[in-house]
Amino acid sequence: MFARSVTRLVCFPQATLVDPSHCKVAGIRLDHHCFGFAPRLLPGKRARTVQFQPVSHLELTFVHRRQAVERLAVEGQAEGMMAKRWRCDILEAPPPRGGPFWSANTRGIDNMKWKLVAAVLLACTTSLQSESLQAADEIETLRSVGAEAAGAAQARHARDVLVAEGADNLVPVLEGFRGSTVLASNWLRSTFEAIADQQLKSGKGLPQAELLSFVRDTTQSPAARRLAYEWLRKESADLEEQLIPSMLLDPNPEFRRDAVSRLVDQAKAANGPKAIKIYQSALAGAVHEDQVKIIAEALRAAEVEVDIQKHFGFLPSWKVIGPFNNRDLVGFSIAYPPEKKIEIAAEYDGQLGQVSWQPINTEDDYGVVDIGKQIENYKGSLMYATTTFRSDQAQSVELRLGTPNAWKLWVNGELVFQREEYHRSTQMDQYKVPVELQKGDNVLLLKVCQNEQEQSWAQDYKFQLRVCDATGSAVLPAGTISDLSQIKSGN
Amino acid sequence: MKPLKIKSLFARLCLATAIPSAVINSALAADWKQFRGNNANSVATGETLPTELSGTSIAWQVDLPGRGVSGPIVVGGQVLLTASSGYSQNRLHGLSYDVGSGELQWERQFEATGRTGCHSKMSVATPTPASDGQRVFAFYSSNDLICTDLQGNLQWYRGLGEEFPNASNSLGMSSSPIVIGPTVIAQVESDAEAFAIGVDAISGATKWKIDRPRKANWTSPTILPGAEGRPALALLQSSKGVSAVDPETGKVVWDFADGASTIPSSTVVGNTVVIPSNGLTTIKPVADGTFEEVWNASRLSPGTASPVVMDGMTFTVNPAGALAAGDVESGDRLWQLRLKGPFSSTPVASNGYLFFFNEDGFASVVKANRDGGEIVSELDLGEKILCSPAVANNALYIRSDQQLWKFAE
Repeated sequence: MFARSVTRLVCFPQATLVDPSHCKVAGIRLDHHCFGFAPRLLPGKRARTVQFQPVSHLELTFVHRRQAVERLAVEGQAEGMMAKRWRCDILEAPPPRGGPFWSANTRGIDNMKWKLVAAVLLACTTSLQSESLQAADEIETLRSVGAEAAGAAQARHARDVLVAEGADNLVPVLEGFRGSTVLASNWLRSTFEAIADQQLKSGKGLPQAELLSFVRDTTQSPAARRLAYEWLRKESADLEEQLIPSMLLDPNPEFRRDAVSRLVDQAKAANGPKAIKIYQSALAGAVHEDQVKIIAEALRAAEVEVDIQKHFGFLPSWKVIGPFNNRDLVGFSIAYPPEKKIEIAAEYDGQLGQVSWQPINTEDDYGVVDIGKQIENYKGSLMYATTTFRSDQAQSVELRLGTPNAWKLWVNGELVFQREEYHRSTQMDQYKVPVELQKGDNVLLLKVCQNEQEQSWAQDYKFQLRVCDATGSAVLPAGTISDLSQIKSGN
Repeated sequence: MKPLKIKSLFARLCLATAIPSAVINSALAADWKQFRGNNANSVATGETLPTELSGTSIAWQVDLPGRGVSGPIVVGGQVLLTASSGYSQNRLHGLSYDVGSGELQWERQFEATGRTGCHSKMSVATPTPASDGQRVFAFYSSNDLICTDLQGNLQWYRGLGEEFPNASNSLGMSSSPIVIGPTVIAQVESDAEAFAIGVDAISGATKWKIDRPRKANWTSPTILPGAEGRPALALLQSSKGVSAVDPETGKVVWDFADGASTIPSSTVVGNTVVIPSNGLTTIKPVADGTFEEVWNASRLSPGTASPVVMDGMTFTVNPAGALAAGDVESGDRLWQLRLKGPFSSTPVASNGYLFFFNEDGFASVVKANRDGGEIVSELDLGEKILCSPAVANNALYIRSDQQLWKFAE
């Protein structure tokens, strides 16, 4: 057991003593908190390494995951002895007055622990870890935040360390976006902004070349590249001219939007075949509804065919069955036969008699299957719609749905999302459901529910569904030739 | 009185000669820390505001980097504000401006973790942020609840839209959080999923979470201050009524179950709760943990704006712009005054005056007493305004989608 009389210190990452005359390692907590070689702190999280420089400038990196990070009030006691980056928390006893901060009673530290200390001190003369490794540690802490504010305390300190170190961490922080959750990327974003803001306000500026290289690297996170771009633009007015024209097919939809916008402006200033060609190029990159509408309108006015359905990847051909009862909203939670098994030849007892699967197609540009108009607006009813999407490979896609009705969606028999909301408006891409498609046929089943509201704005009974990637670009069924490939090949 | 457009050279000169921030800061005393003020009742006590709104009363105005319906708050020399931007409005902004100069102090951006679709009239930045004086709690329609310190440093982040993906409204969410002691309280109520949550202000951890009526609800929680040994309570309004909740535990202390509006929120004055219910209903909590109903007045029905109480009078404004004054003790209607509406913004009351901003950005200052109301000045800001103003240190702050204004003598 750790000695009761030892002043117990828990130090935050990258603590630095600046007064070497007081540098004696005195008390090191070695229970579930740790220093150096402790194996694990939290499930899946390794302890940070301990970094030592020559003894006269002892630099310790401790890890503390739970308590000390909340106890910043002690920080002021270290004033005059510690560098700015030093933060510590005294868990049991205050530092001795008038004496060296570190000269606490060391009784009770057993031999093994001293051996650890000695080993570390030895290591300090022979092994220096790079700053980048430390930054990687802090970045990993930011990437590890979770739901319900898990890891926030550690993330705050990791952020403080990264910010204190300054501009060298800008690119590593951006690199941390790759593979991060949106939640974690917000911690990274906040850290990047704090460093960048500090650089600009201090007049030091941003590392332009490194950040520009990062923006150009399309293997990096699209969001991180955009972030770097927007901060670079604060210093480089001509950056848009330099970069955006080549970003028509960028993985980041915001870059695409900018590139499309420039082309649309050019097309508007041009005439005839030249304008058409520019519009067609713009369409290839457009992933936003408003831009596609503008482009399609211009092309159609020039009597050029535009397949908006295909452009966005809407699924126009379905089989539907119904109505089934949804009076008093009971049907949402009832598993009618099509939920249990899809048998296209089967007939079932429906709300108004026998029902069977019927084909339905839509020619609407935006893939709207209008049950109310194409079939009937059965009040207090529900319908099932199914279609098969053949994928040329196993892949992650987004199913993007728009409907003002309550709905459930299954992919290959698995319920992927459900939502019981009626008539609170609808729009394209209202819901984005990430799913994994298997190679070959994938069966989609959609349950669409209508309630009994009488208001004029509550009569829609419809849906639209498309398959796309994270940028919003269509993912087409296997065997479909995309317009984009034709444009790329110059046809 | 003839309305005045502010886009004049004179107004710009006023901006250019704004008093240096250091001077203003030295005189700071009061904050306005959440939606409808520290007590969430839209009353600014002890403030002297310019009642003659014109170009000369604009201390400064600044362009904003994104859209927003949220109101500003004022904490320690900073005007804090939220906004959203991007094609999908999924870029969430937290902004701080110097109260003296209007200069941007810091800006942080985040990516929404929840759904950002909403009605075009609304914005992802519809809820007004709140503060405990040391931290800012920014809330968005996407149900991202973000805590920063007053320097903009992220303290914790709750992606409630990600944690509870069905708790969203396709028209948008608007409920603003409040802070009671060490707890941030937010209502997240929609047709598909509904709850209220108490979050630890320091750590961001959930202290409690309670189920709420599953129905779309745009109202904001209100504070019932503690009195006579009773602790302060959070009042959570919904279509079912109003629940008084212990902010520490989420335990429901009492329930007013006669139904209530899902848009305008309740107001508290002293020990009286003024509820938008069947017109307007007032109740008084009593010592045994229950309440007694005082009166109901169907002729004092609020539209979108919440009721305000000043000098013994209730004030409600209906969708058409008719301002009605009522007696807070009896519920009797005292008088009506036609204003230029429509209104989404709740007015602010100060020193005998009410400050209204309609949806077209048209401001009206009304002097109100028991004998009647009088419009004493008007000003056309010319931009859509749906937020409620903030008042602090003898200045009024209001924002549109594009601008933030400070009015002061």
